[in-house]
Order: sequence, then structure tokens, then C-alpha cells
Amino acid sequence: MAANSSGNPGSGTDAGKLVTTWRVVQKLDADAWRKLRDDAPLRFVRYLGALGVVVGAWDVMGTPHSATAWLPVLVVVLLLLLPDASSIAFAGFAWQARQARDEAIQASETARESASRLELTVNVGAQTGEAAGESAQARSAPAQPAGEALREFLE
Amino acid sequence: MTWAPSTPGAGRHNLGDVSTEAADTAPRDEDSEVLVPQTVLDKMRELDASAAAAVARTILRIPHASGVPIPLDVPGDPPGTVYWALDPGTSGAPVVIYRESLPGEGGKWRVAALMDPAAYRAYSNGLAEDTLVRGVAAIVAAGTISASEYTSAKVNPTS
Repeated sequence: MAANSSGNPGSGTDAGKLVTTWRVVQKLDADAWRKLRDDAPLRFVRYLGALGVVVGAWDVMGTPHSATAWLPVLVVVLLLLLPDASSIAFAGFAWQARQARDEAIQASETARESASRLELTVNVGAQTGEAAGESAQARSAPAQPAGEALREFLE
Repeated sequence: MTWAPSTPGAGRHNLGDVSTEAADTAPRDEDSEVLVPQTVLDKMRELDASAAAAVARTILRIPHASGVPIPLDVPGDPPGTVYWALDPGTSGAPVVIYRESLPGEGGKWRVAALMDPAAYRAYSNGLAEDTLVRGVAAIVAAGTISASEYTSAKVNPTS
């Protein structure tokens, strides 16, 4: 049974590797990585890399005569520029996915701001109401002149 | 004679910036014009000593200190009743809310309530006009009065 399962492509070991690989891919796609990848320094390095590849290939291969010969260069340049596909409206699906994510983040921030504003509003309303209620009670409560009433707090 | 630390708003006081502890604490003629209800004194006793002292000093500055008008809808008040707020400016000390005495109340000024300083600042910085704030305030005020009436009716069933 064990030998059978180790030889099977869909066995537990293979499935484990697949899960690990998937987790690595997920990790690479995590927000922190995405932020690092999209931040200005790394973006600049990628642009510079793409330019370097084209200039280097031109230097090595000379004036392009055949598109096929330049295909590997194009692939490398594409891979370097692909993370910015959304911002240059390249590859419609990726752009839409990123836009949806940004909208979701923005909606979440808006909801959080609204909730905290509502909390503040209710809290201020409650405190003001309490003060108004106390003011109404103070109307009928016995009162003393401030000088003698407050002496105990100033000693 | 010992010099007391200057209190916020002292610059607006008739006596100028310089004040003495004796002037702060000794009963003055004007003090009898300012009445402090028992409800406010009870609330002051719940504060820590420094905050209560700051509130007391602030009350003693009425009516010379310039209070800030605060829109407060108090159930049962005659129309046109204006409330004023004086912020002690001491951390943790509540804001003093006061008004002119109504006919038959005695004194000239009456301390009405103490208000949470953070809530007061938010309220006076624009939230006073907020419909939701006013709605919540009206509900809480009505609830506070009802609870107080219920408690006093329970304590004095004959009254």
C-alpha cells in the first residue's frame, strides 16, 4: 500500500509538495511582497533591468533581423514589466483583479472610518445627554454658595 | 503669601495674570452669587483630588472668566436658556457647565453639570450641530432624568 502510494503521482508525498509549493506561491503573492515589488526602488531596478537586457541583446545580436531570435529577450523584458501590467492596462484580467482588490481595501478603510466616526458621534451624544440630564437635575437640587461648598476640594 | 500656579484663562481675569492662592480659595462676595448644586458636588467627590481642585478653582473663576457658550438642550428649561462652558485645562478634569440662575433659584449663576473634556472638545468643534449627536443626547438626557426620578421615588415613596 505504501509502495503503491509513493509511486502514485497523486500520493500523499506529492500532494504535500504541491501544498508547500502553493504556499510558497501564496507567500510570494502576499501583500508585503506585492508592496515591495511595486515600491519605487524595485520598480526602477526592474525598468533599468529591462532596458539593460534590450541594450545588451542589441549589442550582442546587432540589429534585429528575426523576431524569433529576439523572442527570449522579449520574454525577459515582459517578465520584468509584468508586475506593472495593471498600471499600464496590460493584460486585462490582471488589471481587473488588482482594481477589485484596491476597491475592496478602500471600501474596508471607508467602513472603518465610518465606524469610528459613528462611535465618536454616539459617545459625544451620550456625554452631552448626560450633561443635559444632570443640568435638569441640578435645577431642583439643593445648592450652596461656591465659596463654602468648594472649600473641601481646595484644602 | 504663597503664589499659586496660574490657571488657564487667568489672562482674561480682571486681576490679570497674577493671582494668589488666597484670592483663589478665600470666600468672596461674588462666590455667594455662584451656587453649586449637590449633584455637582457629588460628582466632584468621585474625581481624583487634583482634578476636583482644578474644577473647584474653575468654578471660583465664574463669572469673571470668559465662558464659551455651549448649545445644550436641557429638558424643562425655559426657552432662551444659555449655558456656558469653562475648561479647567487640567488633564482629567471635566469641563464646568453653568448658566445664569432662573427666576426663583437664588444666586446669580448656577453650576449645572460637569462634562467629559474630550467629548466637550469634539462637541464644540462641530458635532454640536450633528443631528445624530443631538438625537442621542436627547435620548440619554431623558433616560438620565427618568432614572433619577425613579430612584428618588424609590427612596422617598411618599414624596
